[in-house]
Amino acid sequence: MAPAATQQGDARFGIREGLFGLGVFYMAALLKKITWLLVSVTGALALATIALQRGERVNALWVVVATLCVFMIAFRFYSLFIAKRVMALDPQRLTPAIRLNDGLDYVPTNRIVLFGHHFAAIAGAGPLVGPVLAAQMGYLPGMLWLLFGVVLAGAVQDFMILFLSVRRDGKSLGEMIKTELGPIPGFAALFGTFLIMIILLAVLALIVVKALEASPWGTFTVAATIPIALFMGVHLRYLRPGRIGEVSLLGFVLLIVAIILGGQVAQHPTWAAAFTFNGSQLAALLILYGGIASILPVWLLLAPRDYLSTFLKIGTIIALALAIAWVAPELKMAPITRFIDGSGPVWAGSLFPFLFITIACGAVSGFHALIASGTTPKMVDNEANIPFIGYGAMLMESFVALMALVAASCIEPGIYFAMNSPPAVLGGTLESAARVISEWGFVVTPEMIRQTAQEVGEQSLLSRTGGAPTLAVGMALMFAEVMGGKAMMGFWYHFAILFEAMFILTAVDAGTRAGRFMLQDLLGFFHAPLRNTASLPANLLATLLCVGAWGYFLYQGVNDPLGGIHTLWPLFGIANQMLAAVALILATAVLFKMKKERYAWVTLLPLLWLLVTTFTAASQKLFHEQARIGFLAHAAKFRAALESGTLLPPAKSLEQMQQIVFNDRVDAVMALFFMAVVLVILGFGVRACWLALRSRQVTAREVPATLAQVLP
Amino acid sequence: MSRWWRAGWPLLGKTLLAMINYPDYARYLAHHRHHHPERPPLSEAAFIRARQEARYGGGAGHTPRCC
Repeated sequence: MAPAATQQGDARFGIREGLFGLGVFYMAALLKKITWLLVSVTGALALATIALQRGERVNALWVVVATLCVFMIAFRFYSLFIAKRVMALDPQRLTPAIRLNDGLDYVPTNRIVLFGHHFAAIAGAGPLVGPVLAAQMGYLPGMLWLLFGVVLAGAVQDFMILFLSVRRDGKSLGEMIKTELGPIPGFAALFGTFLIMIILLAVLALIVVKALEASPWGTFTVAATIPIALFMGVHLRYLRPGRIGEVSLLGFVLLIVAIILGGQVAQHPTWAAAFTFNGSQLAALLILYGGIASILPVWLLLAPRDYLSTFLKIGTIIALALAIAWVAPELKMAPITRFIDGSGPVWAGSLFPFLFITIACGAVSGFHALIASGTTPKMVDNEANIPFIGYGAMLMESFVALMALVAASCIEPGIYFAMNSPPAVLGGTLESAARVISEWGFVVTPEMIRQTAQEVGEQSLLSRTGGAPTLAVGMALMFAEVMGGKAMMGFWYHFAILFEAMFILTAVDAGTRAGRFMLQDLLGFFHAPLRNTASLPANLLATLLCVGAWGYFLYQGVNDPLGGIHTLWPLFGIANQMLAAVALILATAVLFKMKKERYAWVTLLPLLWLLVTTFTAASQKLFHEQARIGFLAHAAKFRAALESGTLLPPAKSLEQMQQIVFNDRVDAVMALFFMAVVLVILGFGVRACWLALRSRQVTAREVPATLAQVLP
Repeated sequence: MSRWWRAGWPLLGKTLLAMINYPDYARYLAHHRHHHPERPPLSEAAFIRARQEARYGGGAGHTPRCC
């Protein structure tokens, strides 16, 4: 029934006006097409500029332009395709946030606010460190993997898991695997997640140790965050409860004061000595910190530190983006270096498969599956917003990873290799380091290394592995160009170190807690009373076991002749990518169970790629005949030397030799465990797909739909 | 511009609070008044403590920040 106004309108607007309207409509549609065409052409041009320019240095802005274009196209077309065709998102279908709204966990949240929440939870140290390490092969391989990995794998994984969880009242990844694939894969996933957590905590703690080793300025500043957080906690609880903005600002000012004071401390002979620690001492301090912090009440230390570190993290990421746009630095690293053959000093192994596990977060990260099935699905206000949050936030994280890659590539390559090669390769003096690096074909003099160290206020930059110091130098170079010049380099370097150490310490603290609960859950399978999280003995036992586990790997890493990162980062990368594979197995199985198998390639392709890279990498880490890559070959080499009674450097005693053999075997067992966990879940996933194919009905276990109109 | 500003400002504040997962007492009060008017609500301090405990105190779905 047409209202009268329209009929009048029909009379007033004749055929000519109608044609004109149609014309405007088509013009608008055409304009949209032209815009997208322009975006595509610009993106292709930028990519071509980066990939084809030889001999001349490429400006980092080209990387930014290429990234923005690729991400815009991926978001506009691929995420929409997945949303409409594969998931068939329904804006009318009520989300758990609406149906179960309890004002606490389940709360419908504005999509921009929720994007912030989700992004803050997924962004961490991973996307900052991986690309820095990957820069040893040049910026091009890492950049391409980040761009295409995120579009086809990482963002798809986050998006799918968020979708699955929203359709299941915000269930966690483990619970979804249990209901969709069965209890055995559910248990395997729980166990695998715990192991990954341990490796993640060890590797994160190791990054902090490497950044603070023999650095009184850094150590003082990071140590100062503990009393600052305690002060904020007490302030928030007793003095002015709820005044979070005020407290955060106060905390930030205190942090800046701590950085400036740190510079004074580093120049004072007694104070500098008091804050100078070697790796083993720092590792012991961190283990002690992790243990104590994880049993303190949360309001006292963990919560305020988390608030401060999140704001600092987001603020610094924005500042880095602005600085790159403002400075428009040139990429000094070559697009591709000779180290793609696997002979690189930073980490061992050739481009395939090791690049794809070195850059884990940023391209695809299994950890995000835990976040996307955590708090976020309980806050989505409408299914139509899932692409923006699930796919969009992961694109943003990848952008952060690309900025880290840019920052690392803006440093002189000679300095980069001086900072990231282990002492066993560089020989320990500036002169030997410069000689070795020059032999690789990168220009560097001892004077250059010394001067850079002096500028950033450090005693030495040789073998500062772990990625954080390198990123800090890159960020300091850019920030100093925006503000303060050379005089401010030291401040900016330690600001960047603080920024990374701050949220890594929060992760260590929160992760130890989470690991403790996971462990109690697992131990509960064997002895039920251990599951009781209110029981003090059970808590202490689980905390001790958890801290002991990551502490062992941390200690092993700190005393590793090749710098620890060399061994632990690939293990972490393999574990994280395998968790992503597990998440994609679940997603693929559910697509089959939804009778959407014709679209299963959306998750199957990234899944196959992840399985191929992680299993190749894991088996090379296990069985490669080169001792610098394979754990078992390395163990055999030291075992043979032990039997003949010879000492292999860097071991200084036969006990150390035995320790190295033992560590290698533990690492090998870890890699085997990861593979076993994935194979078990893969087996059940294939079975679920097969059963779903044979069934005529939809067998996915979604919560039945409630549509908006049904409500009164 | 000023309208955009007026709409954007509270959104920015809310986004910042959501990033750190800070408990929203006003929202809790509104929900409580609407759904459970017969019970007295928690005080602000008690509410924040309970929410922090739930956020960091562990249990299912309370995974830490990622890599």
